[in-house]
Amino acid sequence: MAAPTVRPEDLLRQTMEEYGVDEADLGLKEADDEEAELALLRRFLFAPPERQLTSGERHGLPLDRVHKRLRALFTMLDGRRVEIGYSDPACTDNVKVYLPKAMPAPLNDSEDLLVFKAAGLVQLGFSRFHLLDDRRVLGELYRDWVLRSAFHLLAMRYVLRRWGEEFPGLKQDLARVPYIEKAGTLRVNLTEVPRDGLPGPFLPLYQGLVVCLNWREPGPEGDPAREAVRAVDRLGNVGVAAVLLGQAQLLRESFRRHRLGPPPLPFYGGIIRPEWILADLARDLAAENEWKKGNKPLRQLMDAMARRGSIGGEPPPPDAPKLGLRARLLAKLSGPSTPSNAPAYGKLRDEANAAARETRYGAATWQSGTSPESLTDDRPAKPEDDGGKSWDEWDDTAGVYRFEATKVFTPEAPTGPLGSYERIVEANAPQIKQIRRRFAALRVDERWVSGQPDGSEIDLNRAILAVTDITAGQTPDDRIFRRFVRAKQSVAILTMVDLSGSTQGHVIHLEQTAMVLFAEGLRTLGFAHAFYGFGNTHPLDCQLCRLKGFDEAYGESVYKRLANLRANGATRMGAFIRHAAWLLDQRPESRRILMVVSDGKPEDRAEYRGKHGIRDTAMAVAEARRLGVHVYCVSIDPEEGADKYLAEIFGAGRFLKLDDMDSLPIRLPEVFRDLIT
Amino acid sequence: MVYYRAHGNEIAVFETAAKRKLPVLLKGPTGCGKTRFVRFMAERLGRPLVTVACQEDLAAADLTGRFLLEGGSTVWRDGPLTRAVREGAICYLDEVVEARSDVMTVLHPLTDDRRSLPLDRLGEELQAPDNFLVVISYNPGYQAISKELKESTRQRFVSLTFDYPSAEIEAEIVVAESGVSPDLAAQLVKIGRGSRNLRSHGLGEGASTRLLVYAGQLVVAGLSLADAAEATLVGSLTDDAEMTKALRELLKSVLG
Repeated sequence: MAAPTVRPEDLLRQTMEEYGVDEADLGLKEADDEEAELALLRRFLFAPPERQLTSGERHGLPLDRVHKRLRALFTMLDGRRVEIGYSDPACTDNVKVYLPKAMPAPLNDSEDLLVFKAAGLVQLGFSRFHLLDDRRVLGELYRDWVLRSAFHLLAMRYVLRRWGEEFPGLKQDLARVPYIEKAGTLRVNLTEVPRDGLPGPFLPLYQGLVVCLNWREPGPEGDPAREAVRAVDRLGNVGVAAVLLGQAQLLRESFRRHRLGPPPLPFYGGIIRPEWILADLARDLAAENEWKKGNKPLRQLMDAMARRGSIGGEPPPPDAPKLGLRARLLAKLSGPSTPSNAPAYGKLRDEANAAARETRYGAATWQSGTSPESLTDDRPAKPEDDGGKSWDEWDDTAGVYRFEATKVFTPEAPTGPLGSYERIVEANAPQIKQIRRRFAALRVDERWVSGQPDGSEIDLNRAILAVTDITAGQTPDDRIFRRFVRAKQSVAILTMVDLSGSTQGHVIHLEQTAMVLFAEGLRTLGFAHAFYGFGNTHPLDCQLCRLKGFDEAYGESVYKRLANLRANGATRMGAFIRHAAWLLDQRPESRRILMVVSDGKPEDRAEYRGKHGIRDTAMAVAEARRLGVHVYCVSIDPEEGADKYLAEIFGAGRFLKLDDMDSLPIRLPEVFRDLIT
Repeated sequence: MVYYRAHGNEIAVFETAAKRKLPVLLKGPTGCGKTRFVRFMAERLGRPLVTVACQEDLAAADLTGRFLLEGGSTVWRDGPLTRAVREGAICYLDEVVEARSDVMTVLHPLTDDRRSLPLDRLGEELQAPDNFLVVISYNPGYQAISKELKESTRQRFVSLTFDYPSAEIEAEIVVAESGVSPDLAAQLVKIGRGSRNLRSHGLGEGASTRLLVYAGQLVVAGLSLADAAEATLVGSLTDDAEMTKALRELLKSVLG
């Protein structure tokens, strides 16, 4: 029987149905296929864990209202930069703290804030006191729900005690929390269970939580739960997770004897999700980045599969390597109905990867040491409007420049509907108004200018010098006045935004909003300014796409480019900075600023990863500075420790890493304002 | 003797640089003790100290000097830099990046092997004595492009990078400078360090050691701890309403 032919669009729709997602849910009513594809994939593969409240429409305090305050407080208490995401129940992946989007009704601002704080501190404490670091412990917890709940209750007690010891002021607050009704609601996962009639063997665990900050020992002598609680109270700070696990195992046995399931958890305790930590995030993220750099990769895969007349695939053989999320989705997409002539699972993946590779880099393989000339024939087609400009690249290992290893082209960026620009302007009207107001003060450089032949005040220093000259019998200089001038500032700014594959989706939407808002501010200022987007598919095909040139007036074409950014390729940032600095070097303005907006470290193919990319970019920044160009970076890289490579590239104080990427459109103009005042 | 608690090898480096007549650059965040360190070193080395707080109107002539009218004639008045050269003093230019660019130009011959100060108006060139030393400071945290120190200037100096001291040393400083108890000093330091975790993540700078000392001094003078902390460690750090609330929560968490 012939294998069914499936169109990519059908496959996409079928997948959405399979996952119970409709277009309205994704906000994709007016989205094109590409946006729909990305939204779908983000949701299943790469989005942060998110759970919506299930407690109806009436909510208590929304997290958004106190998000900034809580994040600041947690950061100050913990010492690490704390990020907060959404999840109900609250949890952590040992990197971020996830809290419910809102407290359950009824609204009580002060109590709700306290519950948020307690829930955050519990989860932050799990990470701060290293309770979730041991993969073997996590593995045990992952397998056994009863064990996990018992461990969780003991761990909460430990964490609350430790916070209380470190910050005595927290003790009073945390001791109040179990008495707040919504905080003390007991749940098994999201299902509430009544507090009355809890089995006796559980009770010391909750009594322990309620009174743990007063150090009263709960429960009757000899009760396993009481003994576990006492053991936790005696714990120092070494091997805590292992001891807690041991105690939880004893409790599990005790509960089993009483034919009891998992003890429910109080609302503010959240949940422990070992699977979030055990998942090999690094591997999945690497796969994600690799995948994103392709050109509509899922579409290619679908096309490839459709061309084969099959969407089928076989389940992986038992000895196949463990697959990442992406591979698992691909497996899911390939569906259960495998035609007999369908390629093997691994083969299908290989073919898809090969197709992606081919599109991105051409058939030739770029290897370290290969001369660029040998690749000439296989390079992708060049843009029409220029012949490109070659740039050397710094090889830090060899300590030499690789001669003309990169080539940068500056084609006009692709356009989209004009409505996109108008929509962004409409949706952000108050912000634009605020930016314009703030920028208005930058328009002129207000200062007193000395040495004027005429002016509003006498310059005393010069007047004295003139008198001195007269006294000495010399001809005095008659420029003895000073004048208050409002001179136009001489500034040229080139904003260069990262359009590499990793910006697909939310980031690129943020970037284009940021570009539009910034443009709206800059155009009222009258400074020379340009916008470019960058991404490369090959070292010799670095595309610095012109969104708005220095000498280009605002008009339909510019609007269409600015508000319709397209992501593609990788981030060979050194070449782009060299080219942008060169463009700025042509400008007559006295202050020349290059603003780089990026979402990650400079990365291209194998030889431009890690140190090489960072060092080459740092060298490019140094070269730009030698030309008198001020280089500044605004980064929305969510990676922990991104500050380190940013400092290495741009220098301390010459970059801003935004914790909250959504603030990019507002912060970008603010950064510019701070830079020139 | 000016109180200064060392927290690294800064004294040895400064002394050696001074012995070799090499100019010194101090980098560090606001209120971490740069100015205090220079005062301390001047006393330690037994040299006069001339301090200039730089601001955007400070020009080379303000440093070198100018003619003034006195009666019917003119008289030359040395500026602080000229005075320091003549006296063999340490000339400390605080926040030098704030000054006009010609200030750096006038410093150049004093910061290389020439060690001279040309006074064009007088038609003379002063040779700096062995005791003369230029010390400049700036805070690299400032991000305005007009306030960056040029590479060519930076490379004329021996650099000392300052940061806030460790918690123990900082508590010692707060005790010594304000007279509060060690326990209270430790609490103030804990708040200060907490606020510094928000540097560049909501706050421009965290609480400086100087602010912690102020808080301690207010408490010793009779103000309640809560009021002193609010006045120094909240109000002076931010105008942002949410950050203010977060700082108050931090105070409450530490002080109870």
